[in-house]
Formats: sequence, structure tokens, C-alpha cells
Amino acid sequence: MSKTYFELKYRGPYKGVHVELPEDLITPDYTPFMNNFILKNGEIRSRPRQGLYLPGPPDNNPILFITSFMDANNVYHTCIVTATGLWQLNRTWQRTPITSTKTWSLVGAYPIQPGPNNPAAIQVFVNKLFWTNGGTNLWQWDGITSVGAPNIWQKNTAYKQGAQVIDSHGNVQVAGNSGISGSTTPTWSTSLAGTTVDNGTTPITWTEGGKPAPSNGFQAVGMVDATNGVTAGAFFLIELNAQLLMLNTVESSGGNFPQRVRWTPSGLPTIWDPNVNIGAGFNDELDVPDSILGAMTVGTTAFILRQNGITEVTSTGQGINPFNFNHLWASDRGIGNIYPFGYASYGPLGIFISSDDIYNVSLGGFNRIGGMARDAIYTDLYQAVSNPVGSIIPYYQLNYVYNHYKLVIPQDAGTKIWNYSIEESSWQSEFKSNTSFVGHSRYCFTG
Amino acid sequence: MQIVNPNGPNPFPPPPIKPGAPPTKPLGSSPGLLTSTGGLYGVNGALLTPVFNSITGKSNILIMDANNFDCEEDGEYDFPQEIPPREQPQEGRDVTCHLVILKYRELGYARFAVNLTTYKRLTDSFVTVQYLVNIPPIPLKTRMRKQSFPDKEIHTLYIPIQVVGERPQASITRSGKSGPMSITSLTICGNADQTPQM
Repeated sequence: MSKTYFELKYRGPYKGVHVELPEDLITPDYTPFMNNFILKNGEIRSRPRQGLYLPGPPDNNPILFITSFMDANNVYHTCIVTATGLWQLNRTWQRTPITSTKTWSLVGAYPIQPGPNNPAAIQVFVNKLFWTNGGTNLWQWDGITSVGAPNIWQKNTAYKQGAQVIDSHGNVQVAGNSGISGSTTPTWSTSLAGTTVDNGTTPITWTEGGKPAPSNGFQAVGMVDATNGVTAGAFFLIELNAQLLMLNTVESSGGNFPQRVRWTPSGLPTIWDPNVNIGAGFNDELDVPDSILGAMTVGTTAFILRQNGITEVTSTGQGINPFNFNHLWASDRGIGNIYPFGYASYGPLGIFISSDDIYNVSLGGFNRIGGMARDAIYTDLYQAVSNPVGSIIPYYQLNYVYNHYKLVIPQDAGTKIWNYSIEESSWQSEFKSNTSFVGHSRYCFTG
Repeated sequence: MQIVNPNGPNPFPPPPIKPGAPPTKPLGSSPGLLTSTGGLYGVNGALLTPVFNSITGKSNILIMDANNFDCEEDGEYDFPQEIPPREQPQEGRDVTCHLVILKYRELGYARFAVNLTTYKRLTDSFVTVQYLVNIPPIPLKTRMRKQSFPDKEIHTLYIPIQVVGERPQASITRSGKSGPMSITSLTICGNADQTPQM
């Protein structure tokens, strides 16, 4: 029998996993299956090593987040949170032998019961780290104070807008503007929301914020009703229009409000009580049938993600009603976010997982991105034994730019990882055995 | 699980001491500004992920090491099944593959397998022929080659392989920690029957 010569060539750019057609019908640039390879720059390369670890904190509790932030002194802090409290990476952690206790130092322990062991929502705002994880408090650390409670007011001292001090009556006073305190103690207003002018070199207007929330190394700042001592935390935390927003709140009076959004006045992330500053407020999304399962800021717009819908939040520029909530759809069933920690955003781009596909959202609208790998991803999601967690990672290191959405799915034998290359629109899979990814991946400073 | 090796090279060397280091006392220009509690220079960094190891029962921070492509886990990349010739696929014909041309970037010592799988109609089963690849394929003998290895350049490897059957499918497999590898292209050469076998 005569034969015909043939050549079957495979060359980049490779487009990742394709399971939407039988494996003998897909084009040569796709793969029906891959594991622990990375497709980048037209090469099929073994993925970067994930074999080095920093020791965990001495308490060995699950780590709810890791992030770095810069404080008001331009000093960086790399922090983690566990059920014990807030830890930061020591500057001298590299000194051998590397141990937990040499690596991490406890900034402070929770003075009261924190939230559950979920990935915590975090936000860095005006050089301070804010976090909350489904408990009844929003926590803050500025990287500077180590004793936790707001400092006693001091004369001839520079304070930044939003700074908190304790006045001579034991109440919290919040600086409405940056300035320098006077040489004599002002006559503090003793009424809630009352203002006091501090006539220093640069006068400061202080606002009385009631009794301080609990603190220990760091402090709780989610006092939503200073008169009655009601505090609030939340499952989600974002920043929009220089205001901090808590969503799906958990409050010390009333419990969980899965449809509630609370916000602070502009530039004052420690004031949440509308009676203290009318710029603070809240809104219950009662006109939609589902609850809030995420939120992200995309450019100048925020998107509140519900199970079956999305609400667009834009700034009105007004002090009392600062936001316009526009439900893009409010149907019983529709495109929404079904995994509370599976979404991620990066600048003008957000990605979330709905019940029918994975979507990206930008100011240009929504797009399906599950593509040819969707069914394989959803099969893995079905086998999740814990919360899938999403992160958008622009680079591994500055010499290795790889802008991708990383979806980690804890399974019985380890963690299945799906990477979506944002530049090449391809899905690639990895597996890390005997290891559960419990939080978002972040580029953090280590030295 | 590997903790950062205390005796090995430090992946995060201490940052250089330079002007502008964080203050250790109140700033002169801001007499009231408090000093920071601890903190870092913000010079070195890494992609970090909180993880929990189910074997040791310990929480750790995983470091993604983008300077090392020697993945610690087993890996596999499957190419599609083929019905040659691509321009006009003809079902139900046996093909004979006799050569795989592999182009790869030399990143270091590595060992992996190139596999070719075909469907055997007579036994209703799939048969896989495996060829083990060592990088470098030729031992480093010359001084120049020893010095230049790995040269990060694209090399070509001609793999003689003899496989007969329907719908050939190539795949790459490797074991964990078997060296960094990077494939730029793969070509299967063979002959297909010109007439159907029905």
C-alpha cells in the first residue's frame, strides 16, 4: 500500500486547555489536558517552583490574608492575620536559623472574638491597613502605633486628617483636617459629633466620636452607632471615591445583614456613624432578591456582586447620598457571583465566577472568559472541599511579568489551580499536592 | 515540604543600606510624627500565598520562585489527537510515525519523556511508545560547552521513534524536580496510508 508523507507541527503561541470539543477535533495550538506547565511567550515550560516557604506564625492557625502596605512614615509592613491577631514580618527574618518566632512578631491579639476562618477582606487606605472577616468589627493598624489604643491628645503635635486621639474625657476625637495641635488642651465637646477647634499653628477641627472601640496593638474602628456602642464588621471591604465601604455587614446588634452596604465620609475611614458625620451612611439593597457575595472597584465604578445579579455603584458627588446604586439586573436568576472569595480585580479589570461561566468586567462591559476550558474548571469547582479563592497577579517578580487570574480550588489531595493568562486569553492548569491554598496570592515585600 | 534552607543560598538577601532608610526616631521635619513599629525597606519582594499543609498540619507562606522552573510536581502536556493529513483528514487509516523533531530552550539539566500514542484497531486499545530525553543529550565534553551550559538558546533534538496506528497523539511528561524544561515546537513526521482500510 502506498504511503503519503506528512508532518504534524506544533508551535506557539499555545492557547491552553480545550475541552469543548473531542481531542481529535481541536486545533494544534490547544491541549486537551495539561498539568504543571506554563504557556508563555510561545513556549511550553515547566511551571515555576513552588517549593520554598516562609514559616507560618507561631500560633499555627490558618492565615486569613497576607499583604504589604506603606505607613505614613514611608515604611513598609508585610502583615498576616490569624485567629490570634495581627502579625508582621520582622526585618531580620532571614537570619538563620529561620524560625516562626524570628520571622513573625505579634502586633496585637484580638481583644474579642474575631470572625470565622475565611479569607479576610482587606483594604489599604490613607496609609493604614483595614481588615474584617465576618466578625462584628472592622480592624485597623497604621503601622506606627504599637500600643493599639488611640494616643492621648498631645500639644504642639502634627496630626493627619482622620487621626484619632483620646480626649481628656476618654472619648475618641477624629481630626477633620491635617494640622498641628495647640499648646493648651482645648475645651473638648462632650456631645457626640460635637466639634472642637484646636487652635495650634495650623488649627485642627476635631469631631467627637464617642467611646473608643476595643483595641490591642491594633484597633477596631467600625463603630456604627456610637450612642449605643454598636460595632460592625463585614465580609467585604472596598474603597470608592476616597470612601471606605463595608458590604454584607455583621453587626453587634442585629447580626448579619447580607444586603447592607455601609460607608464612611470621604477621607475619614474611621467614622461609620451617620450621627457623628453625615457623610457616613448605609443602604440596604432590599429591592433585589439575593444577598451580597462580593464587591470590587473597577476604575471609578464599583460593582456589588450578588448571587444572581450585579449592582453598579457610582459616586454622586453629594455628601449625604454619595452613591448611586444601579442594579444592572435584579432577576431571580441571572449572571452573578457564586463564590464569595473567587473574584478578583486589578485596576480597570475584574473577574468573577457565575453559575454559567466565568466573566470579566471592565468599563467596556462584561465578557465571558471561561472559553474552551469552562467545563473542566466547573468540574473542578464541583469537587472543591473549601472556598475557591481568586487573585489577579500581574507578576511573579518584576523580572517575570505574567498577568493572570489565579483560581485556586482546594480538593482532597491538594489544590487544583487554574491560571487565566489575561494577555493571551488562555487557561492553564496546575496541581499542588498535600497543600491547601487558604488566601489570596499577593506580591509582598520581604526585605 | 521544604523550609527555606538555612545553609543554602539566601533567596532574599538583606537589602543594601542606603540613604533614605526608614527612620528610627521622630522625623526632624515632623516633630510630632511617631516612629513606625517594625517594618521593611520595601526593596525585596516575592509572590506569597498563605497555605496549609495537610501532611504536617502547619500553616505556611508559599513562595512562587520565578527564577526556578524546576517544578516540584509531576507535569504533563498533551497535544491533540491527529488525523493526518491535516489539510484533508482521512478517518480510519493507519499511519506510521518515524521521527519527532523537538526544539527546546536549554535552561539546565533536565530529564523528561516524549510520548506518542496511537489507537490499535485490531486490539481496540491505545499503545504508547515513550522516548526519554536528557538535556543535554550529549555529555558536556568541551570546555566551551561546559562554560556555556545552560546557554538559554533553542536547541533541536531528532528523536527516532517507530509507532503505527490510528490518530497519533504526542505528549510530554516529566517527574517532579527533574529539571527545568521549555519546549518551543514539536513536529511529528510520518507516512499515512493513501487508501482506506475499510
